[in-house]
Amino acid sequence: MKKADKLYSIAWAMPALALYAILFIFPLIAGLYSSMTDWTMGKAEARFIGLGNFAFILNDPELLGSIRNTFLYTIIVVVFKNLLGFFLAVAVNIDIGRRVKVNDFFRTVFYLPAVLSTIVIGVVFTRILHPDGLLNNVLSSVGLSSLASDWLVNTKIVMISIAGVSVWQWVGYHMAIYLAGMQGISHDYYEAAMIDGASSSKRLAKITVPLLMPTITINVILSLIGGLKGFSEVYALTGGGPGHASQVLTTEVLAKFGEGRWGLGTALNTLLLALVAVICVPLLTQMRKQEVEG
Amino acid sequence: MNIRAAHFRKAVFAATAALLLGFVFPLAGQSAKKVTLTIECSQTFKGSGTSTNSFFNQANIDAFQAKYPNIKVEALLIPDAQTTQTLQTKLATGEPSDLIVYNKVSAENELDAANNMIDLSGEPWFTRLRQPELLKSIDGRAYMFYMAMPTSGVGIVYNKDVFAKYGISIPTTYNEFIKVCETLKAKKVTPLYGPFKDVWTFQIWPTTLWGTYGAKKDAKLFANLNSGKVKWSSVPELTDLLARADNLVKKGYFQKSCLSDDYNGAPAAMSSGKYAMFIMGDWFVSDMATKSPKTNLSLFPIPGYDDPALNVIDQGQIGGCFMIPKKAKHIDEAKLFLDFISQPDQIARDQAVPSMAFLPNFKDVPDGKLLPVNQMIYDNYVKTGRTTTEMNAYVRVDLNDLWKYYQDMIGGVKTPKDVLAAWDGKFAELMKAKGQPGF
Repeated sequence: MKKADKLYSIAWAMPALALYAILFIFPLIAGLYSSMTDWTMGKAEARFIGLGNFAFILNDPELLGSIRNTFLYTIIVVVFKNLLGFFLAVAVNIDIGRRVKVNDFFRTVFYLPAVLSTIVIGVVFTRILHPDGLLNNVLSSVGLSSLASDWLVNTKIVMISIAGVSVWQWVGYHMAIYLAGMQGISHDYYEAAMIDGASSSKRLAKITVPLLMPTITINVILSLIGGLKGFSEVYALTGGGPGHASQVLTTEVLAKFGEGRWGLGTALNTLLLALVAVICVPLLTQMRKQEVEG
Repeated sequence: MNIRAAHFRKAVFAATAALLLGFVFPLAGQSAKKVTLTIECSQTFKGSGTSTNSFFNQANIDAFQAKYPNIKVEALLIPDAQTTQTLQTKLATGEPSDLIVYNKVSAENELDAANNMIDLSGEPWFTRLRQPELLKSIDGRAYMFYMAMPTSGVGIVYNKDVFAKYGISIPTTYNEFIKVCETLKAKKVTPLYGPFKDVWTFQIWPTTLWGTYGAKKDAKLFANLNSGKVKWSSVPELTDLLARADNLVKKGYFQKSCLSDDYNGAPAAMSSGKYAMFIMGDWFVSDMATKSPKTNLSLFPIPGYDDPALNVIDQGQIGGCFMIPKKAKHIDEAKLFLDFISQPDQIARDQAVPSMAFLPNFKDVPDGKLLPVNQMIYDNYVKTGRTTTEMNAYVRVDLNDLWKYYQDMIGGVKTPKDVLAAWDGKFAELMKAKGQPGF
């Protein structure tokens, strides 16, 4: 490309690059700097303290608890959103040679929770998961009252309960992505496999899954980022309580900003950014290597 | 050149210029004087709750705008959950509204009123106050405007009909209170409704009793705590008073689902007859008078002490005060607005609104009619000196973590001692972060 053409291309990209720099790069750099200060409401100036905030986070039991909760929540949602989403997609992708209306119905039903407001879901599930709520009543009525619990109060299971609600809300969304991926796989592979006598499980394992790797990559990365950044479900269902039992990184950020400890709140956000980058980038790279050309 | 035509053109030009100048100058003059006075507050303060006393009477605002046509008043509402962060951010960036509405002590702690707001103690309306001390901060200056005397209070809201049905008298000591709870429990009535999913509800008990302790038993308590000379866990009475509340939970006087239930469920609970009492404030009694007129509620002091004289009505910090930030764009207009709404005729307009009944803090304004529960508090407790200020008013840091430790205690994860030990650590951390001496 001639130099003039190159400059011409760069010139056209400059406005977008400038906007990106102003709205993303500069705030990112400013945030990184703020996370290394003792910026607090009421203090005349913010002093640079290096990694002091990060050392504090890694030594504070409550903040370490919120990091543990974040990981627990993320693992549950990634595993179940993807497993259930995948198998739901398999179930609604049954091909009998003609369009099946019941498939369309179930695809819609499974997807519907994803379009609901998380706050509305939080309010509804707060009632469902109440000790006297629908879930416990149903369990009692089918003779499983021993499984009834204080779903959002019992500190041992509160994070699992919140993750369960998130899985319920988003499994349809992931199902839709898996479904789109499955429908992009050529039928020729399945026909050839059937001729060779491959069972349905063999076809699933040897054809569907390898050819679906790009879709699996997308779903895993999306659910991973969503899990690490999870906020709405926790805030709507428990507010981080009881006590600090269901606090996650994002709700702690909100709490620290509410206390006026802006430097520490920014450091928590920076830590979250680092976690997302450190976990997701290598995973994405590794998963891309597993992708098979169809 | 045709001279006549030239003269005619000159005349037309002159006339047009004169016409234009005649429009432009007045307009320029008007646009230079037109001011939009912004008032920023949470949605709760703007609402018409029965005892918000926010004085956002539209009639007052209309009258102000009629008297000062160059000033337009604009209310900026913030969702309740975002109020603190929004106001803090605007103050930090130097772009606050002209007037802010916030609670007095919270503003002193969370909005750093001493550094961010102007001193209003020199204003003309300040000399007309009955109790100017109500509006002063620790440094002796007054950063707030508030036109009412405090006639609100927290205590034990009780169902008078349930008490009458079982022949129960109002308890005046802690032991009497336990006996009342046992009687109700025996009658299959849950003694107390606990909405402890909301962290701000349980704390009413300790903030009342600890506030009383500081006021009546140890005047230096909060000064010592705030200076780091004394730890919370080293004052046995604080642990004891908290343990008395924990005792109520352990004895099963609250419903089993108290950590799952919130304030929103309180009206249905208290009107059902299944619950007899509720640790709450006068606003709940007034709200229920509107929502469920058949439910007969009233209020008595939290009987946490063995000495009846110490069981008094706890009054919260003054809520919904107007403040003028130092960096407000229209300070003079803001001062004008406050002076205007302090005038007797404007206050009379506020008093005429039934849901805003209050006792004015101005000498030249008559008392007015209060809501029954507030009149009861004023007659029985304020006039007789049987009130105290909540502990929260004296603490210089955000108390949310302490309230969350209470939830841990209710859930059995922490003992009262553990709560205060954990709070010692968190309190020191928060005070150090604020640069408070002694930490």
